[in-house]
Amino acid sequence: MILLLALGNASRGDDGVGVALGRALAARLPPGGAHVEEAIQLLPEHAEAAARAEAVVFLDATVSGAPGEVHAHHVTARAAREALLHALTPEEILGLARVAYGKAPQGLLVTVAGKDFSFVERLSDEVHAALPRAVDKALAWLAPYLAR
Amino acid sequence: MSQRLVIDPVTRIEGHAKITIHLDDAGEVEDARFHVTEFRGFERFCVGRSFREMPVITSRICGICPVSHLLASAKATDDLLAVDIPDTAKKLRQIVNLAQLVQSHALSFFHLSSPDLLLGWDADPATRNILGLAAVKPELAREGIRLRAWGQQVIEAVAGKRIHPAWAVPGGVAFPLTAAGREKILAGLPEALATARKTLEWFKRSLDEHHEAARVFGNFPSLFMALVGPDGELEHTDGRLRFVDETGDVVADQLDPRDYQTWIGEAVEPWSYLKFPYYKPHGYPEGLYRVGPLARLNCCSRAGTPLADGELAVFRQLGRGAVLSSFHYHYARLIEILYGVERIGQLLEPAEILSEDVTAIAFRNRHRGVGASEAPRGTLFHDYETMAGGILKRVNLVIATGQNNLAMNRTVAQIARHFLSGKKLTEGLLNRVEAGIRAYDPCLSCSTHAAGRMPLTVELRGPGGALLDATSR
Repeated sequence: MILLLALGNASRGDDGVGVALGRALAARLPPGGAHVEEAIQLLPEHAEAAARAEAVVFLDATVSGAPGEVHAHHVTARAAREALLHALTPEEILGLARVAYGKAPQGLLVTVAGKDFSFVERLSDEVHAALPRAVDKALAWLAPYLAR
Repeated sequence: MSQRLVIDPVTRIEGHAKITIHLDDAGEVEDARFHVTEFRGFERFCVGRSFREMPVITSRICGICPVSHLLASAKATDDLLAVDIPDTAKKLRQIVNLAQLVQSHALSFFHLSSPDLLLGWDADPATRNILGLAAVKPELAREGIRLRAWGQQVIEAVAGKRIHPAWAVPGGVAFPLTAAGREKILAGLPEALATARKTLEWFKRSLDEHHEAARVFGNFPSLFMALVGPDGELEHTDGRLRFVDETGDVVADQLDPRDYQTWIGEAVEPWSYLKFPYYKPHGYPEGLYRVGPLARLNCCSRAGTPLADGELAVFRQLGRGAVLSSFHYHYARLIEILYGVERIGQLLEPAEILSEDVTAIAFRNRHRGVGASEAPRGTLFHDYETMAGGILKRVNLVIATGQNNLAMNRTVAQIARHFLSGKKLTEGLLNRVEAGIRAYDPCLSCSTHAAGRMPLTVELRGPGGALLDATSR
C-alpha cells in the first residue's frame, strides 16, 4: 500500500496545495493502490499508518522558492528535534514508525512553493499550473512500487 | 544586587512562553514569572460579528481543543436563545466533549510528559520526547498513539470531522449520530478502556520514583474550581461551579456559571499577555485557584462511573484533604481518561442516542449569554453581549490556562528554590522548571496565540543587563 500524506489548510490559499496534490495523485494511481490521508499537520498517529505502508509520499506547500516551483526529495528517518512540539516533520514520522513499529518505509517529500497564503479557498494561478509537474515527479518516484 | 534567569521558550507545551527567575542579593530565588509573549485578540475582533457565527469562529482558536471552544460557545448562544436543547443533543455534546478530553489528555500524557517520567529529568533532551519514549517502551508509545486516535475517531464519528467541526450550533447540534457511527465508536472502546487501565496501573507503580517531583512541583495550599453535577458528581459539559479549599471543604457550591464575574476577577500584569484570574472574595493575588484535572477530582464528590470511582478513592489517599501537588495533574489526567472512556460507553447505550431530534429552533431572546464547560485544561467560559440584530458588542473569554496562571508562577518559583544552586544553570533544573509548567498542560494558543518557533535560550543576567551565564538548546 502507498500512503499519501496530503498536508495543509485548504482555507489558506496555496497552503492547500498538498491536499489538491493528494487528490490529483490518487486519481492517477490504480484503484485501491493508495491511501490518502489529509491533515493540517503531521501527528504521531501518522507514524502508525506510515509503518503499514510500502512507501509514503508527503505532499506539502512551502514558502521558499518562486511561486509554483516544484521540488521532490527523498526523506530519511531520523530522531526528533530537541525542542519537540506536538507536530512532527516527515523525517520524524518515519523515525517514529521505525522505533515504535519496527518499520520505516521509503519516503518522498514533494513541495510546491506558494504565493498566496491568505484566507481564500483557491490556489494561485502559478501553483495551480504546477500541479501536473508535481504529480509527475511523485509518479516517477512511485514507478518501482507500482510495477510490483 | 538582583539577577535574572531566563528560559525562553518553554518546550513541549502548546504555544510559546518564557520563564524568568529573579535572584536576590544573596543569590536566592526571589520571584519567578511565567511570561506569555504572544497575543491573539479573539475577544476584540469577534465584536461586530453575528452571535450565530461564534461557535465556528471560536473553535478556530485552537487545533488541540477546538471542541471545547465549540461547546462553550454553542452553550453561550443557547443562553442567548433562552432554549433548553433536546436531551439527545445534550448527550451528544457530552460524548464529543469527553472524546476531546481523552485525546487531549492522551497527547499531554503519552506524547509530551511521559518521556520525562520514563526517561528521567536528567536524560539527554535529544531523546526525551515521543521518539525516545518509543525507543525504550514502544508498546506504551503505540498504545498512547492509538488511544489518542480513538478519541479523534469518536469526534469524527459524532461531529463529522476531527479538527474544527462546525457541528454544535445555537440550539443543539447540526446532525444526529448514525448507527454506523455509534458502532464504530463502540468497536474501539474495549481497547481504549484497556489502555487507560493499564497505563494507570503503570503510573501508580512508578509514583515512588517521583516522590521529589510530587513534593516540589507546585505543592502548595490553594483553592480549586470545577463544574460539578447536581449531586457533586464529575461533570464536564454542563453543571454548576464548585470551589473547594486545601482541606477539601466546599467553599462555594452550585454557583450559576452565568454569575462567574461575581466570583472570578481578572487581573492583568504588564509582563504577560495572559490574564490572572482569581477568586474575588479572597482578593488578588491571594485568591489563587487551580482548574483542570486535579481541580476536578478535588472538587467532585464522586466520579459517577464504576472504575473511575474506584481510582478516585485511591487517588484521594495522596492528600489529607485536597491533593495539593500539581505533579498529580498527570495522575488525575489518567483517571479522567478512564472516566471519559467509561462514560462515553454509558452515554451511547440508550437507543435514544440515535434520535433525530437534536436541534431547538429559536430567535434571540436575551442580550447576554454565558456558556461554560470543562475543557481538558479546566473550566472555560464564553460570555457574549449583543445589540440589535444579534450583533456582538462585547465578548469575554475566560480560558482554562489563564486560570492556572497564578499557580504556574508559584510552581516555577517553588521548583527554582528547590533545585537552583548558585548562578549556574543545569539541564536538569531547566527541564524540571519546564516540567512544572507542563504538568498544567497549558495551551497558550487558546489564551493568546503561538507565532513561530524559537530555539531555547537561557540567560542569567545581572543588574544593567550584564550577561553572567547563558545556555541554549
